[in-house]
Amino acid sequence: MAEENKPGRRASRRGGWWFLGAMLLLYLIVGRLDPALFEASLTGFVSTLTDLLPLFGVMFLLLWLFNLYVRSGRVMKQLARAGGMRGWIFSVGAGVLSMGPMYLWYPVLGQLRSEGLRPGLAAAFLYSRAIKIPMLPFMAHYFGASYSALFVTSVLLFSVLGGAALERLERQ
Amino acid sequence: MNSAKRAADRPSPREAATQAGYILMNLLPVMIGVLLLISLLSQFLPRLLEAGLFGGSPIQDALVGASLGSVAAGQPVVSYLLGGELNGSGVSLVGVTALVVAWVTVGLSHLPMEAQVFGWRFAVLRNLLAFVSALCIAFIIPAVLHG
Repeated sequence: MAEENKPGRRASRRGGWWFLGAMLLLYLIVGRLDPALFEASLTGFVSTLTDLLPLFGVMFLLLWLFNLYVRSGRVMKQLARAGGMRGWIFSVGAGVLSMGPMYLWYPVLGQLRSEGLRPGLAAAFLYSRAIKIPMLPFMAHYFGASYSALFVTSVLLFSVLGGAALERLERQ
Repeated sequence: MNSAKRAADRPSPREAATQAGYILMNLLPVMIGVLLLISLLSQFLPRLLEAGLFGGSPIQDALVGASLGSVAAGQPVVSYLLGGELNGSGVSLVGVTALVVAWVTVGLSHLPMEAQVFGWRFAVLRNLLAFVSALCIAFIIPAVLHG
């Protein structure tokens, strides 16, 4: 997770604030042009934000635990060496535990590929990144715990199925 | 010896909290911005539904959701917020699930970068398989949930 602190992240961090600034400007314009729409939208925003506020605390706690205990670099090193069932478990596990934007992971995967990482395992890693444990409370809030559990199970299953299918197609 | 090395690698609770705060601060403006945008767009959602963007057959909803999710880029949590609001506005769970799954698994915006590392064949095949699996998951989850 240390990649989050690299200087290259500064541009995307500023991008987030620019986006928020643009939304506030949009609201100002809407407020001038259509006060009723502005009021309805703002009421909806405040209501949703109030609902979600406690989840930010849960998210912080999960991120803290991840930073404290998960060393994704170590998992990635194992991934390059692992084969068979262990390889699938490592690739899916590494995908779930990996944090940060995807573009930061492509060079790492490229390096691992040159060291012999199987394409199916790379695909499983990319697919299982869909599961972000610190963000699951938000999914559970909107869709319920059963939905979230099914989502996680399906993504894990399809990570391996997709990886295996891709490996087969690549061989043809 | 190994456990001592592992403990030395590990950040202190304070450092871990700083890193977590940093990540959260990166996400916060995007999430608040997206909530503002969704709150505004949700005022138009009934009209979009009436216009037929969603609300057709389940297959059509799944295709529309997966296509929108494939071209979108951003944090997975944004797709949860968007999907949740769409579902609350009456969009079917099939369409919303296709959107959420494709959002986090298909990366059309990353395709050139992925192709540069793995080759075009790998990148196109992987994204196609992810799109198809988004459609499958979109039908599996509601089917299991609603028996």
